[in-house]
Amino acid sequence: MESAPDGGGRDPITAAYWNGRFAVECHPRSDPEEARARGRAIFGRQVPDAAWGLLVGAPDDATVAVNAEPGSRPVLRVTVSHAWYDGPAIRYLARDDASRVGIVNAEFHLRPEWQRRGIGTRVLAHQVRAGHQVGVAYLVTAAAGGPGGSMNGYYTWALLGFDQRLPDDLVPRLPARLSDARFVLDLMEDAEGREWWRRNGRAYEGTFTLADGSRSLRVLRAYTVRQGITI
Amino acid sequence: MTKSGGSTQHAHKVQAPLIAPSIRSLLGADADVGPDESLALSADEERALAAVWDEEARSPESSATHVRNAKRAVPTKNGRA
Repeated sequence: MESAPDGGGRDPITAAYWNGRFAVECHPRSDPEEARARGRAIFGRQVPDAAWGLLVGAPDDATVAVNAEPGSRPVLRVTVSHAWYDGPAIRYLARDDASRVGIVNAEFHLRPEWQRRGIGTRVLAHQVRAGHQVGVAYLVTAAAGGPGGSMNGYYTWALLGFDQRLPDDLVPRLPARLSDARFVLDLMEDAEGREWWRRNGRAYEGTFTLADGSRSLRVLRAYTVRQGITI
Repeated sequence: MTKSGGSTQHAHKVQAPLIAPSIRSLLGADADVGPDESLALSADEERALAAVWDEEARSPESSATHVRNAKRAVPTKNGRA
């Protein structure tokens, strides 16, 4: 995503609705100090409360509630409520066994009247920028649905750069000229591959890698430029 | 594409993409995570993304380019350049 270099020059929708004017609070059933301690355990340092809103791409007027998940794993649950959202969006921040920080993008539905306005893309772009700045290694999402179903996350999240190894049973079925493909994003680089995944793909857990120069970042950046989205 | 083509004169080594651990391994075996359906793309948005991927496939960094280069490169007899 293109970031306006001096804070100006953002596109009108971004400038109107993404100004950090969200409220961060601790979930009523959670201890604020415990949540902050969990944040320190995940990031290895103190993280200001406002970071939780930035790491979920919260628009203005959102309420961002944070709570430490029960159990010993370093997991923080963040729920985001907003008038555009059909129920709260749920995200989890976690530290994996390789000491990398990941964000699980769980449930998130936009109300129908707010769909197809670039809001989901802007939420993702803000999340990606904030995550990149604080050392988050990746985002993961459950890309749902399949050919002919009512949900098409398996295709749209692939287009947006969420990757996964192709299922072993699908590899032998790839068209001959795509037989080298081993990852979902390999198929996205080719018109025939995209169509093949649309017709033969399935739900998967997609990874959006935040490492400098990653294919995920390149594609999101190019897409936001093309769409005139400048955050 | 990801196949490196073996030892060749000009083949780039394609680094495997980072794939995150499973959501259950990150959050615990009881994790019940619903889908993110925030991205309902219009037909125009889909076309724009397809164009982005077509550009990506032509870029020097793309894995498709790496594979094309690997296939063009001539393997040497002893596997060394």
